[in-house]
Amino acid sequence: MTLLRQALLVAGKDLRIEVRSRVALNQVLPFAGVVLLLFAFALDPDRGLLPRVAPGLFWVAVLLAGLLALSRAFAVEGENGVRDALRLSGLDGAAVFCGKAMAVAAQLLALEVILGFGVVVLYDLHLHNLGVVVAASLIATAGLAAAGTVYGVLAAGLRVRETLFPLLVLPVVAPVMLGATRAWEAALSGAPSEAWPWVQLLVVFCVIYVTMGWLAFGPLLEET
Amino acid sequence: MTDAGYVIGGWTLTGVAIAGYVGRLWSRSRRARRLLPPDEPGGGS
Amino acid sequence: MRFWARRGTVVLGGLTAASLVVLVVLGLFVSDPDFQQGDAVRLMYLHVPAAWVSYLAYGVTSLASALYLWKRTRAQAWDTLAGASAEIGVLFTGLTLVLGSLWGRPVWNVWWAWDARIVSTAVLFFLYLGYLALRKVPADPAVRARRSAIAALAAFVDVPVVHFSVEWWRTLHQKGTVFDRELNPAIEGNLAWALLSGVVAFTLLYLYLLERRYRLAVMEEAIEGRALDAAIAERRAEADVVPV
Repeated sequence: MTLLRQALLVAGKDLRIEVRSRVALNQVLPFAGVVLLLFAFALDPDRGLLPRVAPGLFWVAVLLAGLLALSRAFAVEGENGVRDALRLSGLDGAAVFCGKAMAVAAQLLALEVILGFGVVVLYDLHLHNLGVVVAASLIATAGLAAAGTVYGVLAAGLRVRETLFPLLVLPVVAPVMLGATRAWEAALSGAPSEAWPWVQLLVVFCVIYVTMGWLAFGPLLEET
Repeated sequence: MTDAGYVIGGWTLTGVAIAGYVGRLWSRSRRARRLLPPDEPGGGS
Repeated sequence: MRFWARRGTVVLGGLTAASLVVLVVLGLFVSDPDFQQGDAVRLMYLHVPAAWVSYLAYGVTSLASALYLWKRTRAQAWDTLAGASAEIGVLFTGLTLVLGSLWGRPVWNVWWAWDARIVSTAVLFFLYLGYLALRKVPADPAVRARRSAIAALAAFVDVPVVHFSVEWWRTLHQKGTVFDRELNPAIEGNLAWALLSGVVAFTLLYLYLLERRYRLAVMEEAIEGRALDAAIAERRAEADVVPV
């Protein structure tokens, strides 16, 4: 089976689990929504601040939701001896990595669409240059999913996973926060060409962590 | 606070941090050496 | 062999102590105050060396992790070294941040600034903390070693990305030019000697602490191993006693 087929197989499994359990829909999405609301509680909505900081708030909400989604992606492996099944299946480590990352990315992208609506509605954000916004978001999400999957498997199966995983991942994805927010700001303020260096940064980050996951995921999955 | 205050504070803090860490290493080393028989590897002052 | 190891440690310790004394004398007493910064510049004699050691320790951790992962040089010693260096690194990174804050307040009237170097150091601090937390998770030594090594390398590739991204960010906003200019002043005279003595002293201190921490780690790993062996032996003894 080609790597792509294997990856799609794994991604399909994860997504099917999500469709049947609806955890992302019922728990992660509302969580992100509540986060958006809480930002408004914390930052007085009447002072015109929210639209200006909306991109940053959006990406923080996505990041926090992403932590939950990634944690979940590896929690499902802990049940029913799935990890052993994965190891015995003969699937290539790199393919499993890609599959899991793709599934997380897909969930995050769906989340981002809905949160995007939320931000427009709640924070009175006006959207321009949607192409740049979407492109930046796609690459940023891919980077988040890749880096998160690498650290997810590192922390998987550890009893301290819930507290250790966020500590490991959050410092690492700082460049994504920076790049995605600045790209959005550039696009939304009517200067989409300024977004280009940030998109490049996001691409570099994405490439680095996809490579890392490609190489390291297999060996990491092997251990008990 | 005068400049001298910051300087003295900073140097003192550094000294305390380093001394504290060295002390921690020494006491843990002493405890470890007690738990190991003299022929174990890794011993030494 | 052990005699020479002991000798070496004592010599290194002595040199370190001596160099630290030199640093205190030069840094606090002999050197002149800076023309612009006054006495506050004396904090630089600690801050810059601490920052240097942070990055040195981090480099050692990353290199040792890579050497562990590469099959041809794989050895438990590399993993032990990586962990020891990281612990010292987190200490000095924390010091760097605090000293930087204490230096920044009297000179630039700020406790913090969002420039590339400071932010990268803060991110490095958290990367270290995560790495050390990961190392504390109990596991078979080889498993823990490989997991830690990969985490170290994943963090290693992140730091340049963080640094450049923050640099772009700050230069695009064209802030901090005063800051940058003063962070790299042309240092002359006995101030330069004080700074140099700081770098030398802290480097020696790092090597000394690394050696001690490494030895401690080896001893503690041996104790863990023996405790495990003893427990296994006890379980076996129990099994033999039970009649079939």
